[in-house]
Amino acid sequence: MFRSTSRRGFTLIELLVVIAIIAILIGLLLPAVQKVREAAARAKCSNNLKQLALALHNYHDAYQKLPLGFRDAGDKENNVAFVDRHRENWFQVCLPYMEQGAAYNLYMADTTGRNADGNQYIHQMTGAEVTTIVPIMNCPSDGQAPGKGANGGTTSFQGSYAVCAGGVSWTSNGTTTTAGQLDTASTDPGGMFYRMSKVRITDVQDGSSNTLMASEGIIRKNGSGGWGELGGFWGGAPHGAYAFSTFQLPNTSTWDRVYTCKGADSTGRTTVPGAPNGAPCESGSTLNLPGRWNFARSYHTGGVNSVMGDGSVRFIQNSMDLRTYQAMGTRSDGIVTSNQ
Amino acid sequence: MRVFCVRAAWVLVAAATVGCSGGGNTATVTGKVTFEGEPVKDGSITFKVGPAGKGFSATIKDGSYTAQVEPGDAVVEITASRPSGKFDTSNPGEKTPIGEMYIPKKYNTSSTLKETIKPGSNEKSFDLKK
Repeated sequence: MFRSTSRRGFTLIELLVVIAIIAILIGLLLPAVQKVREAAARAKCSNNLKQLALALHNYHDAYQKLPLGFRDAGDKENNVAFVDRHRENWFQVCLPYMEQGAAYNLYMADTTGRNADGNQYIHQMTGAEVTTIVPIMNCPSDGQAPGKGANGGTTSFQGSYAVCAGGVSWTSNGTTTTAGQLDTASTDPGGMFYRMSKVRITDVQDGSSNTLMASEGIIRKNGSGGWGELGGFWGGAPHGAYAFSTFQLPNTSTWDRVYTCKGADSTGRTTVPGAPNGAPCESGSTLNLPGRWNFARSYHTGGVNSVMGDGSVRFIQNSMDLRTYQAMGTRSDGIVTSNQ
Repeated sequence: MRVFCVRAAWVLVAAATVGCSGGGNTATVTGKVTFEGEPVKDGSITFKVGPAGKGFSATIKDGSYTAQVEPGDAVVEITASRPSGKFDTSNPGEKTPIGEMYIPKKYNTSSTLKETIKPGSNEKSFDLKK
């Protein structure tokens, strides 16, 4: 019985137990590391939205109004029709306030993209400003950011954020809505930004701290064509790209409906594997469906980052009350909402 | 010892299953969609629940769909398109094929289809007419 005194090594059982304990510890640790990473990305993302809100407010200080949502061919100012830079939206006019003065100067001096009829379209421009990546417009939680495309082309910059066009669905006694309120490409869906909008902060009668200014979206197939997915600022604006709608909750399973979705198959529809609820999108043009809208979407757990009209950043849960959300999206609905 | 191990394993499996099944109070809705007797090949179905119209969408493939919907009274919107051979040129420099939506408006943009979704599983089939 001298074995016990001269024992040097470990038995197999002891080794297996140690290995099992280590495995369990690693198993506990790994998800925690991933969560920390996502929390950091979410913090960066909310900081980006804060910067965007500051840019919009600085524009308001300079011009006494918020930037336009977008404009398209045929729009007029003081009865004079625009001929230059059709489809311009808030993103371009805010460039100087996002430390992109050089890109803005290039943009204003760009003479490319003019058609035979004299009209200039920004999606046909070829200057360097079109591919310039604006750092604060990219959400680090989205593996596809910084994006490209969503304006018919495959190279121009696509951001992760867009402004709020509004969206409220109960007109009287719970009847269903008209397409005009839903459609972000229509004249005024009720938010702080829409076609040819010039909203002043004082026009936001619900109070700027109760009204959504901007939120985020998901970049689908990066670098493919498509028109109008959220953030496709270089030409996709009239097809829905400039804004999101509060008609449905963030990360809804309801389809985004833009002109054409990136990566849509022959059925005109597409989803993103791994995105919350698949981030579904249907091509309104291919399917001949009326109305254009994007909903707020993100890869953050349980909701989206959003910034209110007063510049405060909030995390909006997917599970919040839809009516409250819709009332938050509109600037002067007069509806009192709790839980804002 | 072996009996204990097996029992412990079951407890672990049960805990993992319970832990993952939390969240989401949606019901499953399945069914068939036909138009003029023919199954709808490629389409979309959306349930808009409650007075605010909370939307839940699913794809219709070869006449069948499976959707996750919150229980309640829902307005149902069904769309389906087929190629028309026409093109849209509203984007200068590009021609985009446009389709033809062949489901009447009374089933989508101004839908009159109403259904009540119960918790659990539901079977809702629709036979649409011109």
